[in-house]
Amino acid sequence: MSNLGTNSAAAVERAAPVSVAVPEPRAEAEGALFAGRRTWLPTFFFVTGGHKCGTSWLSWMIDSHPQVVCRSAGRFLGVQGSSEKWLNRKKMHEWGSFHTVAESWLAGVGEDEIELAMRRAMIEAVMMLRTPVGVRAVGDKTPMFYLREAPKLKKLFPEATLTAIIRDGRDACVSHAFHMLRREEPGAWEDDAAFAAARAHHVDGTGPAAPLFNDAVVRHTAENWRTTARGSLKARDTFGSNYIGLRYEDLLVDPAPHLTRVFEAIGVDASEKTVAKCVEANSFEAKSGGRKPGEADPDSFVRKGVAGDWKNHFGDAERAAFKDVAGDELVALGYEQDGNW
Amino acid sequence: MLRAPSTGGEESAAAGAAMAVEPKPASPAHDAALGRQMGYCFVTGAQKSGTTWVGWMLREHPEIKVRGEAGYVGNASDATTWINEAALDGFLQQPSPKRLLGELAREDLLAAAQRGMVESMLRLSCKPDAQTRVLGDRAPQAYCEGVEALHRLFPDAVYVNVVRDGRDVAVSNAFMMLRNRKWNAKSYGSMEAGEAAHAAHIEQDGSAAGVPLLGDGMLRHYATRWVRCIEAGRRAQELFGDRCVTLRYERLLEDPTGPVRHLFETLGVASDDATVAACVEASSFESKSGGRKRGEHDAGSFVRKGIAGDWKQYFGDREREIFNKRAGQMLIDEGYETSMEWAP
Repeated sequence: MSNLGTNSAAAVERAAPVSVAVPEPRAEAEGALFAGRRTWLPTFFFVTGGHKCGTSWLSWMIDSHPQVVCRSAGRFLGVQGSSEKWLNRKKMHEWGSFHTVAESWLAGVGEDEIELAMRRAMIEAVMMLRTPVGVRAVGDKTPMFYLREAPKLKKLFPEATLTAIIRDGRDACVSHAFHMLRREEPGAWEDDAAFAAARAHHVDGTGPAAPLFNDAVVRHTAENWRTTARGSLKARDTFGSNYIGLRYEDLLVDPAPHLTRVFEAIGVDASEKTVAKCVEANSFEAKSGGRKPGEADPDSFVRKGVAGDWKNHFGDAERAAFKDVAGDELVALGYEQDGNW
Repeated sequence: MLRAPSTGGEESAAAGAAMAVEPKPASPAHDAALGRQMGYCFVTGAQKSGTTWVGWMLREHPEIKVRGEAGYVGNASDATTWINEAALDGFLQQPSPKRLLGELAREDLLAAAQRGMVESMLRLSCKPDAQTRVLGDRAPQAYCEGVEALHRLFPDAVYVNVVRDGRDVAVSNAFMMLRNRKWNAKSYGSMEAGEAAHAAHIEQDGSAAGVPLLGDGMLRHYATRWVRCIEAGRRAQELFGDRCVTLRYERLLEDPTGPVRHLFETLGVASDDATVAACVEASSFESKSGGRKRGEHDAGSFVRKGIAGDWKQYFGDREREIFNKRAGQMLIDEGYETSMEWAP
């Protein structure tokens, strides 16, 4: 299993996998690296959504399934270092030009097909590393990028399910603001003193009252959210029946029916008992060390876990800034009836 | 290949219904392999040692899909070169790989990705069906040259090493080269000498008695290459242990049944009498040559003669001396001679 690395999300203990039903390996395989892993072919799936929209919570619940591995932020597409450049096309082409290869192995297969298959194979290989034998479905959760690059993802994994989670952009904005303060990453603030004052007040609880964000921060996060919102609409069209669109707010009410849908789509046990286990293991209480949703700890990755918190932090200026950037998308996704909020 | 699952028509709809409780296809290219562990085997040996024959016998087995001469390792543009390592390094510099994979050695990631590509190619090309449990490639020389690389990528594979008397290997190679008109100036000393050998041994214009089948240059080449392959087979034995299966052409000629059964057992597939017999019979010299018996020579056929010891017809003192100098000790080590006295 992966660890969450050095970022502060590591503070959140991941729920231990319940227990993986592992089939007997066919033959003893030497070499710790492979040990029969790559020979087991699972279903591949992807999870995405907006930043601070609940992608981690969703992927934790999915990962708690005994037949599933769902890890974080492979970022296989759309960023620097992504898989798009991993293939050495020149060498592939050279190999494919050998007469023995061209006449038998690649007969009737287009170079594009091979290239796509090889690019997919590399991503699969990375996803399968450290994956226990017998796991039925392996997924990667990468916020944003899989929405933005949905057509590329679809080309590589035409049969895969893409699950996207979205949330009221204003709550995402608040959550993101806390996230950045907690991690001491000023990002769009461009005002160190104001950032320090915000952090002191909102995270450390030591300083005098200070705004949670400034105009630039609101606009920046609203822009990101707008990209995500538009991306989710496009991804839905691209993936068609393989697209599952979820709302954070619905998951807060009860994650079970939504999780059931995901498990059914990726072809693993979706019984009530299994779903309940996955939900419980990742409840706000379990993940926050006993707090109830709404009991905020600004210094935790699992901060507050509620919907509508934006009302506590948005003044007129924030409302205007957000509306200006992403007001239409808020309506398009049904979070407001119109622009009069 | 990479088609959308929905385009499969009736057949895939039926399969979908039958698989209602099964997971969705992993990838359209390997639906049938889904949810099962696949074994891998790689067949090699010096060229003209009988790897094709072994490949035929494997292919007759309902649980095995082996194709020929992809050469995934052991050549200059093999699968170990298909990755743009600089780009992968770029990925490793991102924070995500650490989160995703922990402290993973770069070499391990490379090997995994390389293996993944080979596995994908094997699935694309061999098209496993519901019965398939083993996929593989047969490539003479390649998996000898690349035995270490192969082990790095497929430590769990079965390595099938076909060994034959190097002198028969040389004779068989010479016939193939002449048949395909692949000689060069070094083979016989001149291109004209090659033409003469072709006329004598392939066209069989009656001049055979006076024209050597083997030129000095080619004989040295075949002898050296044979020694290298035998040495690679020994390294394979160390690396793959029990999963390295050495098949002797001469033993297969006597009766392939025992060795083939052992091979099937090692591969973990059905090895009952009927299955073994079916694979052996369908691949016999008679079946493959269109009815000729072993020893009935057809110089123009890939399935030329199919016997052991044919070299004695074509080796004079000169050939014996050249071959012995390069590979005499190996002939003894491999049990084909007891001393060097066979050569002048």
